[in-house]
Amino acid sequence: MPSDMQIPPIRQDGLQLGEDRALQIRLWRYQRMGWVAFGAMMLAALCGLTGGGGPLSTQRLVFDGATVQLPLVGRWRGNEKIVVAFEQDSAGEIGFGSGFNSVFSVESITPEPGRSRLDASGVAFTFDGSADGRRMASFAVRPSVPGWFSFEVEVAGDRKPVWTFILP
Amino acid sequence: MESVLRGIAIYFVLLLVTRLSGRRTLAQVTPFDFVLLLIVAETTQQALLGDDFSITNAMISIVTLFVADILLSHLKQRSGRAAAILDGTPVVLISEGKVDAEALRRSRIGLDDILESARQQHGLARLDQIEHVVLEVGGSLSIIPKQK
Repeated sequence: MPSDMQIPPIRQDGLQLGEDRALQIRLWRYQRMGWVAFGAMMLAALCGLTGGGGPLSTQRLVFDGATVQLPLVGRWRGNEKIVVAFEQDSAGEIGFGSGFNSVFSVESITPEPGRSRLDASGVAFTFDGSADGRRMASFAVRPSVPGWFSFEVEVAGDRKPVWTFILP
Repeated sequence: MESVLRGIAIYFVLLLVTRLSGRRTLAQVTPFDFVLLLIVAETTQQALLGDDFSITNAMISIVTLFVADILLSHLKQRSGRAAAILDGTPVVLISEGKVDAEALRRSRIGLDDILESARQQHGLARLDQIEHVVLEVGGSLSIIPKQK
């Protein structure tokens, strides 16, 4: 018999088993705490703190000329959306700082932008106006790396920093 | 690298969730529990493989899961404490005919479950015919009848 093999003790009631009631009570306590953590995780998910939709999963940036809605919490390789609503008198151009391309890969843009420009400061898209003057653009993007990132969004010369958290 | 990291992460998430969800007895397993098991397996498969359905990725994921399991089994063999934490310890629910109500409540097991197991295992009709009941680490109920 190996020397490290432990033989369970024989209890007063005659059972030979290694019951550790003190440890088991602690484990039961941790189990209850785990259930609370499960509930908290579900609530966080319902609020959008784990990405995949929900009121807290997106953020809104208001510019002079456009409102941009983009993910605050996203999921690695998930499907995310950036929606830009241009005002009637806006030039219809939106730019993303150089950090944007290292976080998101753009899968599609609806409608297709009239022009796009890529330079050292980032990428910019210009959308032509519709008949009624209202313009909405939607970017289907996919986070390519998990982590905590920042980049800038620019509309009509106004640049604003954005933070986004991509969960693994 | 990603396949290994995914495999290890999924293994420990499943271990933690399974452990924290508690040890209900195998006798309590319902058909819905099997449905849940299938849903968990399907969800896990997607998280494990991601968009890569290659044989290489599947092979590495499978090997990673097995290696993690082998390493943990070695750890449990070397350390009784680790085994107790990872698997729990047997819980005596009835000792010398006396019911441990606290253990029953914490283990979420009713006297009906014990009587059902007693009927199935030993053909016992009443609670007073039972000497000991142990909830084993594997989730089964061991019934030891009183000596006649």
